[in-house]
Amino acid sequence: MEISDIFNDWLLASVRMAAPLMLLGIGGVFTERTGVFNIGMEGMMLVGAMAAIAGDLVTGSVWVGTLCAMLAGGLLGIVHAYLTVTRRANQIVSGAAINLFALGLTNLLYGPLYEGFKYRPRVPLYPKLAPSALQELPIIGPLLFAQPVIVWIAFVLPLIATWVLYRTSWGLNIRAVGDHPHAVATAGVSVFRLKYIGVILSGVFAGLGGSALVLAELGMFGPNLTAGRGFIALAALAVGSWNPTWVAAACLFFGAADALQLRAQTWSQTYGVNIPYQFLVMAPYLLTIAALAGLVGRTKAPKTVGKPYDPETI
Amino acid sequence: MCDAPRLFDRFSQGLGYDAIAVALMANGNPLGVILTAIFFGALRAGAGKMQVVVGIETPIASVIQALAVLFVIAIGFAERARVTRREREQEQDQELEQETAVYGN
Repeated sequence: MEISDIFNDWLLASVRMAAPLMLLGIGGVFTERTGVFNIGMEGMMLVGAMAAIAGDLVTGSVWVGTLCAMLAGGLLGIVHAYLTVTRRANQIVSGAAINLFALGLTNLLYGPLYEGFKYRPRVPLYPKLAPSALQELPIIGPLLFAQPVIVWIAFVLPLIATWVLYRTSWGLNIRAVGDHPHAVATAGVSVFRLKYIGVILSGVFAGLGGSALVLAELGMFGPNLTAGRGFIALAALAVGSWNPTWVAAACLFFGAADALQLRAQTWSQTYGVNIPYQFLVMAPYLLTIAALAGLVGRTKAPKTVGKPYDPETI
Repeated sequence: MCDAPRLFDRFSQGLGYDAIAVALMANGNPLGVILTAIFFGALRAGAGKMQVVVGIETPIASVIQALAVLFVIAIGFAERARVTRREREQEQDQELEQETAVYGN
């Protein structure tokens, strides 16, 4: 492989691997802006990924799969919203329980999902819409045009989310709920409804992220396929200071690091550089810690995130 | 791990997460931790046997654990603590009113 090929391959993979993270990041912004942590996004993504494969496998349509994923994520989002907003349960515990539930459920359904198949079949994937002439352009070809359509969606949605959050009155409400819910209540807007919307949106986006993870390239499901991506997206929230565009940029950074790490594994084998692959796998996570440690003083989390809202106490 | 005196890949199998659930179900009571830990341990230990004997898949154990946690927090210890706190505050308010009434006279 020539250097330019390797570079193009890496660019292509970076963008593709960042897409699910970016979708998760948008969901994370909405839930934390309404003052609710959702560490259950990892599990919601996992269930979403399985639902996407199941829907796609049964109907043969990638869009039905996507819809199934969003629905599955949204359902878990409703559970999290009910527990944390209505029942005022501890948000971390609820999220951890949802992760545990999702892991168990997907492991349980993994057998039945592929029952009757000798090997795991690959389901139809998201189409690549750009004409092949554009796909073959140097650098911007792989970067922009040789991507499945979900990647384009993942790159446009953060911009739309930023516009909604900062340029519409509804977005102002969402941002205000996380910082000062009582002020929102005084203005006559339902805090509970906004919180529910924020948490359910995070579930829907996590499900969409799951479908982007499996239906962009892989086309099949495996146990614990998400492998901590939900938590990386949570780190991206802090690095991107809860602004969808910056969060997306952070996700792109983490995606690029992960893609580089995967490629470095094969290089170290090809060129006989003896770096144990475990160190390379660690690298993106070390980067996450470094980014958080370097930025944590400067980021401002929504003020009431993690605290349950009680209309009767101020 | 006491039953396998060596270190292998992913030996902890998400025990850290289970511990969060154990602490929650014990409702912050150190002695309750013993009971809930035994409950969770029994679920895990029984799951392997169930697979061998009856053919039920092992992941059912973590599904049951998760559902147990979700139902416990849905019943809501926090909610109950809040209600008792409010009742206590109301009592204090009443006492305060009575006292001021006495001093007022």
